[in-house]
Amino acid sequence: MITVRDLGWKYAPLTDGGKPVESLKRVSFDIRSGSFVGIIGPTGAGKSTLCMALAGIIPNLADGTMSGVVEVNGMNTSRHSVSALSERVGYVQQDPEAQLFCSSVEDEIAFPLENRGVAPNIIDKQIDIMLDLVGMAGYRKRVPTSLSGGQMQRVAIAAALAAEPDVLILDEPTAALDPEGKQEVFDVLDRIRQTRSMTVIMAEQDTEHIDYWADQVLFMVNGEVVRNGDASLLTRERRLLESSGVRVSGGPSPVIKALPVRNDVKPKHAIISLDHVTHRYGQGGNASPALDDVSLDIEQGAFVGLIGRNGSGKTTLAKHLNGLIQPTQGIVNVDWLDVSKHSVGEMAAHVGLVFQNPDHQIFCSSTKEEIAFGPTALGLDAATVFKRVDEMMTLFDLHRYEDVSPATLGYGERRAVALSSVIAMRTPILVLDEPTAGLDHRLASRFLGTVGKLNRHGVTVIMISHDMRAVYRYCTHVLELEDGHIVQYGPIDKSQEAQQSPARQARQPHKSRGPVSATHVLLKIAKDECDKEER
Amino acid sequence: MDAGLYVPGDGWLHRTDPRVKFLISIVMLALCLVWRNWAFILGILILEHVMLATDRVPAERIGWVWKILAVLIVFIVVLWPVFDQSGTHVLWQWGWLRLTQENLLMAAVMGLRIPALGFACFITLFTTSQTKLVRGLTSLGVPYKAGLTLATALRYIPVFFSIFQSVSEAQRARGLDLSGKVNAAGKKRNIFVRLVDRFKSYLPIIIAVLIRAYKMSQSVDWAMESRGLNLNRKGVKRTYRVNLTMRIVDWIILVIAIAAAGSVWVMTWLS
Repeated sequence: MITVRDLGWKYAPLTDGGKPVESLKRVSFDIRSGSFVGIIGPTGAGKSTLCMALAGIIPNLADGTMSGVVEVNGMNTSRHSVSALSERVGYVQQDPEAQLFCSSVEDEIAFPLENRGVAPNIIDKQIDIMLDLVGMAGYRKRVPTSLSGGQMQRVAIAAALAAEPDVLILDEPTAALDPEGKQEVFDVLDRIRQTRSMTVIMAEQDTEHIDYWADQVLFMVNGEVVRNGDASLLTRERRLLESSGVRVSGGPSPVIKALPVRNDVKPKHAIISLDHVTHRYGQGGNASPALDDVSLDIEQGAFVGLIGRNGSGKTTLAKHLNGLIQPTQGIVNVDWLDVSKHSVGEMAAHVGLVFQNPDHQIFCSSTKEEIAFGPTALGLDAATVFKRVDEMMTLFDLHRYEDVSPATLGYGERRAVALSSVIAMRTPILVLDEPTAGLDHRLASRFLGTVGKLNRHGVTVIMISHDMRAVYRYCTHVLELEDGHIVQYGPIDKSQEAQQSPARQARQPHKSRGPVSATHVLLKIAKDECDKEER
Repeated sequence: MDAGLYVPGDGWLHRTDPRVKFLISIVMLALCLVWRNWAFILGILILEHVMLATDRVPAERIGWVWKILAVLIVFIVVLWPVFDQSGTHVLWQWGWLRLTQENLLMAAVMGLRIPALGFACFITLFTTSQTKLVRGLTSLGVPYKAGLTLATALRYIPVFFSIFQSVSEAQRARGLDLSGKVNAAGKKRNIFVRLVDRFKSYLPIIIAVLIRAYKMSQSVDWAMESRGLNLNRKGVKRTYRVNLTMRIVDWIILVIAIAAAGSVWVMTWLS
């Protein structure tokens, strides 16, 4: 049982003399033990902050002031430390890289058990049980950072559950995952809930899975819980949700299929052409190449959706286009230039690249400078640079942050700064690496609308995305990669027949196929009996 | 660079007790600092390579160490004779710049000493997993949290290194061209301007990495707390999954290390 009464939270200001940021206001709700709760809402609504409050990070570790009461299974979060609360609550964060801090999978899971003084031989057994439960048996000795995003999140879940808490809190655990990785995470949660009663509270952008799994839905806007009900809320209040920026799944996600193209005909205006390109990472990479003999031609003015699983070579391909990565073999021609003969700085006038993580590309001390950096580096005069910066800030509503350091802005705004800093360079080619990951529907549409407009004015766009709806809606072409190979490439088939293919079923949320293995249940019973004997 | 500095493996150094490896590293560091003899330091350097090679640490990791130390080595070897004017056997003189047999020899010693010191550390860092490192430190009386902090810091060095690279890539992708001999406006840039430009471009990257590092360390702190780092149950002590035991081999290695260190110390004392 979780009780939240009149919860408020103000973040301490980031800079001296700044105003405290109010991110939770008068939040009250109850959660019954054993239920699956989805927290939904637009970017910046306070979903993560609420998760932090339920895990006790607020008020114990974060800077700010809290009002109201949060009680998790009888423990008042402001009277107990996060570690004490961890007896009841497991917490999984959004960024897997920042929460797996050990150098092997087994140590991640051992950590909470060691802290509880569990005997080494039992820790050893528990590691195997947990890995089996999250479907990661055989990965015991692996280095966490060498795993895929979905696997890393499953390890994080295993580590959060190792000490058997009653409540699991997940803060957008699937934001960076491909559809298959997402399904893996939900499968694991379902499997665990079959073995024992556990409350799951999940903040999530993707309402499709919430609709399928949740018993209770909390809808947040501007730090307040505006609706609290069961999953039928998603259909009942559809208009309200959509107006705030939450996407409500409108039917199954589309199947992206390329029309067959004749390979012998080369397009006349291939602005990008890859000729037998292979790339092998040296140190740290595995032996198989990240890109394996990829050849393709992209016509001028195309809007290409680049899809494929995490680790299929999408980002590697994108970085070839401006020379950040040079092919091990083969030739890359972009804007009729051989990329290997030009420096990245020179290619910048032809190709704009927006990185996957906005934090990896923001480096100036004010938003204005950040957007001006590219145009200035291209050698444009001050008046033109000023005009372009102004244009971009108007477009993304950034004027109020003109002199603020972009690194201190919210996630959606950081994304906007990163995107506008590249668009301001007005390159004939734009490469976007998952530009809408972690953004709500409204912001994502605004981004893609802008990019679509540029595309109609002749800019060639290559967009890496896991969002099949966005690819179907905005892209003209699809390029699908798998293990460094091209699976399909060509104009997207938007006819009705393409949507009838059997592939569509796989993309829908569904219950995991395999039954829970009997060992889990048996071990659980054996463990309960041990506990009783101890008492 | 997935795992940080640790190279997963099962060589003899990997199996050696971390405490013994600490001692080996410290002894090598101390001896290289005390004895300024080029032949001795070269000997240590060769010994370190033999140890890493027989432990089957891949050559590219050893090459990586040389790569990061290269700038420092060149810097010191070139600057040493400039600032050290000692020595009587003058080989070449130009104004105040004197090259003597003695200061050239010292430059060579310094040039060898840096990789020797570096590899002395990497003998432990390459072959000791985070767990064993923490365990080794705690069993020597270092508080658990201090050990954990050190091990976690080491674990995240490559992460920050890759963020640094990524931000630097972002700068170049937005048109920063540090290699070109002309700037975007077509003006010629001399080597000095290019060097200053390069250092100027590093400053914002460092700030960006620091902001990211701060956020990430906060996140790691939350993750550790929410898995019970500071859990103080009454009467319950923290346990460790891995427990260290000194095998006979470890004792033998320990004795050899001490004997070797002792004899070297006697030799320096005699000479």
